Amino acid sequence: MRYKYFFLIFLLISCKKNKAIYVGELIGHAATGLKIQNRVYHDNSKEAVDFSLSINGCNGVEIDVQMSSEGDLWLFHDTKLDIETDGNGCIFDLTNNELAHIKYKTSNKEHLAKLSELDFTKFENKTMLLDIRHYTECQNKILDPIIFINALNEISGLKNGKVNLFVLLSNAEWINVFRVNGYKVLFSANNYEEYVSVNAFVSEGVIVKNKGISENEVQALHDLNKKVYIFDIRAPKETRLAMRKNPDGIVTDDLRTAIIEKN
Amino acid sequence: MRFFLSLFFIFIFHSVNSQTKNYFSIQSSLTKMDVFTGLNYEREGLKKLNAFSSLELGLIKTVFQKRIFPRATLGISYSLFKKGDFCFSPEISYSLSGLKIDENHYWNEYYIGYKAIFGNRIQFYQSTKIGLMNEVFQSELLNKRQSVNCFGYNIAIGMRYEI
Repeated sequence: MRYKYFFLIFLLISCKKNKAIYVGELIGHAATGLKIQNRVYHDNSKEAVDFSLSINGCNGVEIDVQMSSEGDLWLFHDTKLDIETDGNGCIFDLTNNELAHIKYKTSNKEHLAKLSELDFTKFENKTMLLDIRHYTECQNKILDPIIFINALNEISGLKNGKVNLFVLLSNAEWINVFRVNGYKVLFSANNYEEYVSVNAFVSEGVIVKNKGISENEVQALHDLNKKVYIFDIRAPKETRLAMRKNPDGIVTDDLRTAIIEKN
Repeated sequence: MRFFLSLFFIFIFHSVNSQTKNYFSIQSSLTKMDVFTGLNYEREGLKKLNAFSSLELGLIKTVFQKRIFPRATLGISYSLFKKGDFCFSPEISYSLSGLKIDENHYWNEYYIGYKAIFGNRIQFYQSTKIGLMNEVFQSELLNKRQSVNCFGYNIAIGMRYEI
């Protein structure tokens, strides 16, 4: 009788794992994941970027950048500062000096990080996906793409060829502006249909939600020589589902789970 | 960790007598890394102090990802308040867990919190603990062991039986 329970446990652990064979990249979403309980550092912090890159199996990070009032790029995801930091307002309304003193409301109290403060030598042979956040909610305005390009051009080490850099854009009209300035672009779409309908094919590829693209659609884009990155992935099941679609990269909120699934 | 181990074993060896109560329990705990389930052994000892140890497995990693994620805990609690079938005990604990991700990752957890126990021979309990969680792993960038700290927590429920 008692062996029945051991047998059940054995069965649970030993049953065949339905594993996806995946050879693409594993990218940390907002470095260590957005709104995930097991993260060590706050998303889009310098500490989070360093932590993710130091994990074996991580091929790069996706980070969100917004512009300060002085035209420099800062890592930040939300539209307003007061939600998760001790600051107020929007990134675009504050100077570099003001932003440098703002900290996240976490136990590690990470400071906001300027993009130029990242150590780009750590990105050698790694991928960096830069999500350009061009809308400033406090002023209800879309910023000019040229000021982003100027800010990126001023950062030494970013375009040295060692960093596999992609700029993520959700505005299709901006794609060519970035491309003619030497940046590889992924169009950020909710689904495959959106990518096709906005005529964003001039981009190098697409970053799309896991639920918004099928395996066949990934293959169709690969046939057109387009890169496909998939995001909105947390749980093991979602990760396996995304891996079976065989994209070029998975932008995951849980790097540890994704690395286990890949291995 | 050495401090916890020494304290635990000194406590265990000084508490052996015929009046000592022993408890076995089954428990589930929610932590930052996983939902752990396993067995817990607790021994009543000196004055109002109890020592406990547990062995658990992380369910999500072990069952859904087929990657064994064990966790061992040692701790001491103090029966601060006891009335009828209710007992309230502050407790401290140390846990060590390990998981092979690409390299092996280890987590040291140092927690302080409480345990509320209800019942007589068969008892139910709930405990909440917070503290420091330390992750140790081989850094690909630095090519050496790296250690990072963050806030951790452990919220557990369990059923225990006096033997």
